[in-house]
Amino acid sequence: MPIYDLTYRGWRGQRTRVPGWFPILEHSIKISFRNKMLKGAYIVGVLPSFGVCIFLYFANQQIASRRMPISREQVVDISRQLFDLPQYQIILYIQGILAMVVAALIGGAGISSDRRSNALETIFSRAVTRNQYLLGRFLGVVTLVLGATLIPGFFIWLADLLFSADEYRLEATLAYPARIAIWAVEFSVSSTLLVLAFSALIKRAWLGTAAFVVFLLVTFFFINALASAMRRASDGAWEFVRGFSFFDAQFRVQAWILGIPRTKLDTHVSLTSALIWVVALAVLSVFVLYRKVRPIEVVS
Amino acid sequence: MILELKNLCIDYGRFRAVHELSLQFEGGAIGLLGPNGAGKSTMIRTVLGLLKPSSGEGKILGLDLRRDSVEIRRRVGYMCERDSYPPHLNAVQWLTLLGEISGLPERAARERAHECLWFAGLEEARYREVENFSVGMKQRVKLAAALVHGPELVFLDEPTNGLDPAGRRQMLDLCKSLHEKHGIHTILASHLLPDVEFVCSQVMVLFKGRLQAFGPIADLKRSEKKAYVVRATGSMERFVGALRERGAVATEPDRKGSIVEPPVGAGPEFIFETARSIETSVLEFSIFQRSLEDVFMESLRAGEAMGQVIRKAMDAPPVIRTAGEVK
Amino acid sequence: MNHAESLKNGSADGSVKIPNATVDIAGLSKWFGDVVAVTNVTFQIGPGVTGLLGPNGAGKSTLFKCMTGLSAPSTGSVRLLGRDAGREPDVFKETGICPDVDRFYEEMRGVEFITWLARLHGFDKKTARAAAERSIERVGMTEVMNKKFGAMSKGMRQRMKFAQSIVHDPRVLFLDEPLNGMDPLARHATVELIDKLGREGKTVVVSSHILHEVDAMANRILLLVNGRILAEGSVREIREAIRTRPHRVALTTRTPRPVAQQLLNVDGTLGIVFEAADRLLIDTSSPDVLLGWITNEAAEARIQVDELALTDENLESIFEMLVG
Repeated sequence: MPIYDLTYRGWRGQRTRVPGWFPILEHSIKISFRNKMLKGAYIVGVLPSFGVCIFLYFANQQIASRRMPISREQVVDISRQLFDLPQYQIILYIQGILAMVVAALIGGAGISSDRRSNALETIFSRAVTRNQYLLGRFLGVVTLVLGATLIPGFFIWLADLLFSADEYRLEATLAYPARIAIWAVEFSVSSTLLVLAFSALIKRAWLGTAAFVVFLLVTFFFINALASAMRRASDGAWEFVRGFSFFDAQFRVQAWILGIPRTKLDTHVSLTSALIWVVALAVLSVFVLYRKVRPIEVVS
Repeated sequence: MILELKNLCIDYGRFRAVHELSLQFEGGAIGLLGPNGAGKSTMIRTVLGLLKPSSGEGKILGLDLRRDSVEIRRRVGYMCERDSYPPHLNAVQWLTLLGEISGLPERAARERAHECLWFAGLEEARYREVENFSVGMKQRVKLAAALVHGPELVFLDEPTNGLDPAGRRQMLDLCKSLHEKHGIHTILASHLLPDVEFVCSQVMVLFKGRLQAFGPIADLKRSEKKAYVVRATGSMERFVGALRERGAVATEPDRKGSIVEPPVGAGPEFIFETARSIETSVLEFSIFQRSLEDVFMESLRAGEAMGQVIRKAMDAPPVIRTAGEVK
Repeated sequence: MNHAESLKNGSADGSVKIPNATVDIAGLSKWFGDVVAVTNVTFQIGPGVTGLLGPNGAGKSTLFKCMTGLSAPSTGSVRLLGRDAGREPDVFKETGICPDVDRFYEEMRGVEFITWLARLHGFDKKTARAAAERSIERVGMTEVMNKKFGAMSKGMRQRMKFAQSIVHDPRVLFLDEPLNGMDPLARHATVELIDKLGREGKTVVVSSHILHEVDAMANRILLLVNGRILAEGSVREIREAIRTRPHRVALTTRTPRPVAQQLLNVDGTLGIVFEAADRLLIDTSSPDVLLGWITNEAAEARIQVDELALTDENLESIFEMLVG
């Protein structure tokens, strides 16, 4: 009867062709959903859009149940006033901010804890490059933020179609899903990069998240105070300045992507500066990530 | 050839950490010695493909250091010195992740995680979070993590750090078995020379980025001097006196005994005869050879400017006054 | 483990009395809520180097804290240099501590930090600086004393910690894992320094997990297990006290089998193991008889001895026998 040595054996099996970032991505998502608080935050973050769907249903019922016969044009008019792109934008924007909170909570714990616990030293001693690691971490957070913006966006659009009193609503809104998707990608990429950069800058997860929130609020209030001060002095320039607040910049860029005409917009933010700021922050974040996440840290 | 370096130079900016390092390691277990800042970590990181050499060439497991760095890390294991594990993960999850990163299919990674934890003696703790482990268990997790992807060569950096005597012995047994029983080539970096001597049969000494000694430990320890280390029961002073009286050269006894060179023509029986003549018996007797510490110190001394490194300042006079006397 | 009964003492009373003891611990216990770290230990330590050993979690660090006045014992007394440490905290001016935690003001330079500590000991500015430089010189760190702690290696920090503990030339020195993280050069130098301090007549209590280094510097061992003193004395004394284990002698010779045959007739031989082709392990109850026999036979050149050693008279094997 054979007795086997169970102490240790090597591994000579076939290795997979899966690139190194994939397990990292998988791990980030798994870890986020293992944490009950994060899971709760995620679900709460998606909820408001369902409220909007319900609201749409009842509001359209209201229109349909009017006693007075009205023409088709009037129906279209009323329903457009009730719910169209500007409303989409506001709801999706709120949805986006909630998703960003989720991103901050999830992403904030990612790189900082790896750095703080020195897990990076072991991870980088494996068959994974820095690019793959960063890509994995990045995609892990982006996927979640995308989920938290895309899913509500499509649900609202579907509810809009199904419940609308306007029979030709589909034709009118055919371009919306694509626009929503583009915006969702833009928003999740830029906010994730920023969150990860803060996570890489500060070694404590919750401090990184806090710093991120403080950064957003401070730039918002500071830039807006500056802009209103400039408004008294000169015309036009203050709109340019307002683009350098992350919230305002994102809102302006979102309006641009969703295709809301300038006339319907009551924010005074210059698109140029908004775009510059969004792109600049993304570039800066990538730079910070590369500076801070290194296989080797040289201490003089 | 497991590791082959040719004129390897590594720089950090303007600081040259490793100078023209050439060596050929044919496999087995080798100790990597050197004082702090000698370039040990730099060398390990270069060999893992994390640092690019500035000049020279190197091959590990037949893979080129510059071109195949990812493939190298797929086939080499590394146990780092500091604690290294992400928070909120249990041992199995952490090892599974590392296995997957190294290209193991998910199921294989999970199986191997269990196997390696078993090997490291953590079978009971494997579902607990690594954060809550004791020092000894954390070291074992690191060892298991270095093995999870079935490497052909492992680097172990100070594996016995912080372990108590029993834990240290178990860890050393595991390290030794890697090469002896499981055929994994082992490179052990440690400040504890007895650890190196226990696990490894070969050694390389780095100093100021240069290779100072390299080869089988037994060869390096061999001494030309025909002498014996002797300790006797009873008074060592008396024994040494008797040996000298009968024409032998004997050093002043210390804890390990005295180094005795019998007079010309006499063999080891001379020492036993002397012991018998003063009615004592020999307690310990061995052929004199240099200790690994001697080998280490001498190879550094051969290096350069040792005056700066070996501290002569130990004999500085102590502060005479006590604090209470100073007004 | 049934050695305790054969040892001189396994608990607080009847401890070995040491003349001119500088550290005198009586009935000391320390507990934190439900956690009992040290249980009713009594011992004395005199001048020279004493090694405090024990597995992780045995209560060494707690005992250190109590002895150095960093925490008060729950019960029992600590007398240092004949004075009650609880009532006269002034006695701590004559003790030096090298703790095991690795925390510094990272932005401070080495020499600044030690000067500052010396001033806390009551030195004036100039003397403090001189004392700091002298103690740094003693640990061989003069070249790097102007470095900031943040830029020092683990070994350098460790030696700075050591320098800090001897800056006021204390009579009693407590060193908790002083060699941790040092490279072989620093270890060698530090072991020598500790040995030297012991020979100067200082009382040095040193804890370490690296037994052969303790063996090289300490004359006396205190073995702490589970918050209690399991054994105290020199390595030789402790080995003698473990009567339940036979002594083991290793003999390397070119003719092991004939030698083994003759050994069976030597008084006290309990067993012989062929460890390798030319190496015998002999268990004996009376090592003196065995060694005398081997000496005699070798002197007559009847057997050729290549190596002879008592394998269990070192700290490592004693620790293994007692603690496992």
